[in-house]
Amino acid sequence: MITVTNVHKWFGKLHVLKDVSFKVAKGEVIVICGVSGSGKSTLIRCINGLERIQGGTITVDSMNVHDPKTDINLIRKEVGMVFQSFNLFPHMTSLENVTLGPREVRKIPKDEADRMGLELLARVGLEDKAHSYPASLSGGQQQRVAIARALAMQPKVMLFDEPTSALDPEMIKEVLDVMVKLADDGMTMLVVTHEMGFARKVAHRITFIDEGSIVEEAPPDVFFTEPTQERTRRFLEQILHV
Amino acid sequence: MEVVLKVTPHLLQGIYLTIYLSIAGMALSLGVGFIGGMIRSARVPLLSPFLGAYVAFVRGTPFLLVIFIMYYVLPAFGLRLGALSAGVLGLIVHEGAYMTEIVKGGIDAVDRGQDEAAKALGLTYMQKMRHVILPQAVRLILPPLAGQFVLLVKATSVVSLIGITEVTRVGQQLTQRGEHTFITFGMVALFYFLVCYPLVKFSDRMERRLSKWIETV
Repeated sequence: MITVTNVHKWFGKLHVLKDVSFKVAKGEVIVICGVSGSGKSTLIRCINGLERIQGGTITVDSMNVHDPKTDINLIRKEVGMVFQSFNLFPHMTSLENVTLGPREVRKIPKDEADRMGLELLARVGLEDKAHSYPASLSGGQQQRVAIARALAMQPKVMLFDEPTSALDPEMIKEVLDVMVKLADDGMTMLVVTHEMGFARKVAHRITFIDEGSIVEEAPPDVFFTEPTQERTRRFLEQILHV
Repeated sequence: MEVVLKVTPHLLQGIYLTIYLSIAGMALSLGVGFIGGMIRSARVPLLSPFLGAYVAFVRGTPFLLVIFIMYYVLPAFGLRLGALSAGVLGLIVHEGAYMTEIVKGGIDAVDRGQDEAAKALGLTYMQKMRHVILPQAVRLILPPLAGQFVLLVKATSVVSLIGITEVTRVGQQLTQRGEHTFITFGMVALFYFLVCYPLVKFSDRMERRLSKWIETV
């Protein structure tokens, strides 16, 4: 589904991704973790072309993301993205947020888009907030609308860029619950997160990135109990407070 | 009172021209501003720097000189404009530059996350602008835009210097013919005030209306 091959990325002189390669198969849930500044967010932002890369290739559904000949919007139609700061459109209601993509990009008529949008909002438990503006929703509710908005494009892959990092602690669960449900439904997901409980529960693989390189890649049971790298062990100690 | 009745018909003719210049200037310079502002903020190679130079030029040139260029210099390049066309063109060139900066500022002030969310959905540039960025930018630029409109209305008085008898010029002619200076110019000033003040009030109202989604319930 997603193939990342020898990717390099620089921000000016800063080498943020160093020869990164990995694959995500259809239906897989991959959790990417690492300290802040390790390049994990940058990596998933490269996958839908929000960031350029300076070396290597990324393909999504066998389309080359960074080939100038590729219509990037064809890829973005297939790849849903959820941001740390939600980025809902503040001048639109929840329903309008959810239906904008289908109506404009997929050219679905308003009635049908609204019907699908309400279904999606119900799926994230927010059908009663369909006509509320984002400013009147809590952080957790906003993030769930944002997930519904991304799902409305019927993507083949979902990217989550620290979806719970900006939330108050009591709202994290409602968002994770939606994500767990999504994983159980077989969605291909690439999740940058510090929520190790979520990783343990649903991830097929956990990828640890440090200083722009993939240090360790393992299924959760192996990753948490017998990491092979010293750097992974130190990271786990910090994050699990043990 | 007698003076008022006597000068009013003359002033009305000037008012007609002032309003004509103002409306033409607003509509067209706003068009320049939106297109220019979008190009400036999109950082298009060549085009954006060119517009940057245009803005810098206008900012460093007195409006009167812009008018003189339109009326006296352009004919040397084969473009001979009537006074009114030269006046309107001058207003567009001058005000368009300021509007460009205002619109650019508004677009740039919209949170970058909005741009990314719109892109991530697969919206094209135009769809993104129309549905996501501009509706939010317009709310931000209304107050400076209203301020610029007020300046534009007052700037129309300068075009009298290439022989357009808009309201200020009419007032001047009337007093030169011996009409009461205080009353005549007082009426001219009152006219400007009656146009400009509601413009600002209207912008305040629009701003509040467009902000309804910001207020938390």
